[in-house]
Amino acid sequence: MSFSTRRSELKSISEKLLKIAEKFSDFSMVQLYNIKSATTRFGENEITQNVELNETRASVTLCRDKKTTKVSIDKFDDESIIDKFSKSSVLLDFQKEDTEFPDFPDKLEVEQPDNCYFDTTANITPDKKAEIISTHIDKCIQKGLLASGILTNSEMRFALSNSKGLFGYFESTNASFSTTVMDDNGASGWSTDNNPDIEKIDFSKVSSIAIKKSLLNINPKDLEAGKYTVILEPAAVTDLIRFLSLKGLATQLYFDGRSPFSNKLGEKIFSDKITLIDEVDNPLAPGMPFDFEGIKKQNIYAVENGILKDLPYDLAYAKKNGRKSNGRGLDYPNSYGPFFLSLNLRPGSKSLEQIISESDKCLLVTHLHYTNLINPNDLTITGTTRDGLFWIENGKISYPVKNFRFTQSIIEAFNNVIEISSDQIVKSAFFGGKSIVAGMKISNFNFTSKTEY
Amino acid sequence: MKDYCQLAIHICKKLGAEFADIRIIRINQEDLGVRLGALSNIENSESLGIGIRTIKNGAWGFAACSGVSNEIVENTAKKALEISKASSKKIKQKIKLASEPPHIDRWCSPYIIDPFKVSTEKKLNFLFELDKILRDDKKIVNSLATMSFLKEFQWYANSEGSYIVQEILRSGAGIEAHATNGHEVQKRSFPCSFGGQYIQGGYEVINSLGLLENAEKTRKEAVDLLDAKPCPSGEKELIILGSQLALQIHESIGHATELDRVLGLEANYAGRSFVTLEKKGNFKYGSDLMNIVADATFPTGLGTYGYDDDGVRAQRFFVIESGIFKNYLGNREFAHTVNDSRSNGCNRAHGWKNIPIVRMPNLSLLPGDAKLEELIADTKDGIMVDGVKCWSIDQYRYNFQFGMEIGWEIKNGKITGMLKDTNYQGITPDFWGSLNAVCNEDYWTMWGVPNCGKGQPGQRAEMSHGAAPSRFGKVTVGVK
Repeated sequence: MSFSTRRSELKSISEKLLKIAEKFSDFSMVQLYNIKSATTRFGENEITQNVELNETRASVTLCRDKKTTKVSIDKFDDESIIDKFSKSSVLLDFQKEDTEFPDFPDKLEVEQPDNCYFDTTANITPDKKAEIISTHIDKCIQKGLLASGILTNSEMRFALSNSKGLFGYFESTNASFSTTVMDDNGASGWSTDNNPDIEKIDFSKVSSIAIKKSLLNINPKDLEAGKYTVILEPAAVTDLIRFLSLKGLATQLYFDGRSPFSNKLGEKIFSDKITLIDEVDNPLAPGMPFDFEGIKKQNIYAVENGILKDLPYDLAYAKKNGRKSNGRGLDYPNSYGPFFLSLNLRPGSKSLEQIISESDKCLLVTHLHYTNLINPNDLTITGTTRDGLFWIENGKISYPVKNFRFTQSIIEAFNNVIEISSDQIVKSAFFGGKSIVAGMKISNFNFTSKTEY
Repeated sequence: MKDYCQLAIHICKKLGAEFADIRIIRINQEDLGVRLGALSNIENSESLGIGIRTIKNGAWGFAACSGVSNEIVENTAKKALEISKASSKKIKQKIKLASEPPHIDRWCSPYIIDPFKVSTEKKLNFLFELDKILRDDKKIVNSLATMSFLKEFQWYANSEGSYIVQEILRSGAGIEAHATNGHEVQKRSFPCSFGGQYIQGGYEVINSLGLLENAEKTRKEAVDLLDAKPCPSGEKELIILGSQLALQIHESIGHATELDRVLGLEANYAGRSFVTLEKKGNFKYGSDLMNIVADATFPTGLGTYGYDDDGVRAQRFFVIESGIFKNYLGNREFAHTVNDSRSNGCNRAHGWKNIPIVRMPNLSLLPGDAKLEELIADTKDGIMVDGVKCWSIDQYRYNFQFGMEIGWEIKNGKITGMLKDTNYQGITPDFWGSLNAVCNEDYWTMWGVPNCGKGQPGQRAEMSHGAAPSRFGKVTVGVK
């Protein structure tokens, strides 16, 4: 199927939904998705699950006299649509008029980005994926190791339309390979890669890194919990940026007075080494060029050289604050407000390897596990290290260390940054968006307890 | 729907499947929310689709598609078999399902008032009334009152002759308030965090929760927390109230005893488990007061069903008895790995689009004989905590740390004040080994967990945990 056929297919369903919605509303908006996703999962050196999903779903917002209701459906015959719209529109009668009702746009001029959709990813077969996994598993068997992980390919098509005439379409593919490798005693290593084009994933490299880490992680030593200088590999930094986006730089929290950064726009909040940009057009990770309200996305400097510069805005928050939306609107209405969904960390000048080689008496962290926010007032998160925690001495990995639990304020950590690496990885974010993150060397990282594993 | 089920099984058999099952599922859901005096969410959703699972050449295949028609059934069945064949290229041994007799049955969860027939006006008026009480203080910067109703119809058939129809209705509601003094934020929820309490049942559930009676207290506690003492640091006796203890059970016992984790099949994502196979029947998981029962038959639980998604009849069994680990949570595929001749019925999938995986049913700490008032009076230097705020546990379910919304300091048998930013940390068997009192059935409640995530691709499951306030000795609290 060509791009224009795929686009036309969703446009046709969207138009049908909008046409029927006319009978029940004076304004309507349709989000229509088609998702095809297939995951081959392996564990203990064999394929253990292998699944495929094909789903078409619409979320329709019906508005009348500035009152709103939403209905979500996956049956698109006239009778089903009329039945659902009819039942849902009854809910409009019991509502108050929304005095802040946004002025939704009537047109959207955006192009489908060139490098988001690849037939290679959309069309890879279960057989081919089994071959790729078999190659990796056989390498692990040769080393006496156990492999587990996933190889996923997905295709997402999305159409946004409204009754004022707006129509926007975006499609993307994504392939992801992730593996944990361990010996019989649990010495584990991990690695991952993802790309819109499955042919650009270096499966051999991912496999080799996970195997190498597992072999380096044999017989980890006990260290006492406490404050250490750490080098977080990019995958570990992702967790910190995710919580910063959702719990620190969220617009509703900011204006409610529930963010630790409330009233601090324009102020220095982090080390001047930190710059975070929510980008639409970074070639490393292109994403959907418009938001869920039909506004074209702009690049936003959230934090520049440690200074809080801007927030994500949807139509409602833009109106309240006398400015324009910067294209970060989510489903309307919602109870959480707009978020940054793909914050990129500006890289530093030294490679991770160089940072390690210049370091002494510190810990190298592969990635983090089960991170969660324990205190919103200073953005303290807790979680554990995983799949490779190593003691660095005289610029080299000296020995593996048993995993730690950390209890660490993100604000404090981002003020204690010593270096940011030039190495970057792309991590999948919400809805086709991706974050580009780099490694970080941070002083006084707070490890609060240890574990036997 | 029966015709579609029969068609799927017929096609799979014809194409050489050694085993096949199909689930056709329709879910109707209604979600309502009021935030700071305005409607924040009002959504009705309906989802209908099929999931077909096959074994061919000894390997699993699974395909799912939205909608139901002869064409969808045929294409999905063929796809599942194609996937089975691909899977069989890298397996160590062929899938061996524990035997289960074919069942032809219909099962429904009980309810009194169908929430989908209660007027929206009544529901919204109630939420607006709650929200008004919650925000009646200038220090309140966020208030939220929510309701959610879900009705699921499932048609299941397999190639061994089972045909089971199930209908499940669950309802839930909750309130929360955030207060600030300009320097910090504190939050309280009722009856529990993350959307409130969820129970199998109809609109009568909403009427039973006591939301109106507790809205003012919820608001006041959020405001009072701003001036409360910070949680002290050190080792203290710890009394954990019901909803927090439910999550402790969920994270440190439920997930730890899922057989797929133990066998290493979740290693790349949520992790493995410290409860390794040799521990069955002899491992001292906790103190003698610790009796943990898995019970998919207990009325009102979110993990209550007639049959699991393997078509296995719901069961009740001890996971831990008098502190000794007895049984894993399993399914037909893994029963043989622990020498069980029959699955204990814990295989479930979220909706039609996911493959069934090992899931907790209702998992509860059986009540003891203590009374909360006596427990407090018997505590010299401790804290009491409630309200889930944060949870985290390592990949072996061994080292955990939890944060709560609220706490109270106990000195010499008396509550001496409110505490904020409470947290505790522990090692699973040490922590449960320190369990020294469990309150009796008068204090025991089934707490619903409607949002448990697991698996790759990730899927959600619902279950409940029965718990009464319990006391643990010498727990590390106030981690900084």
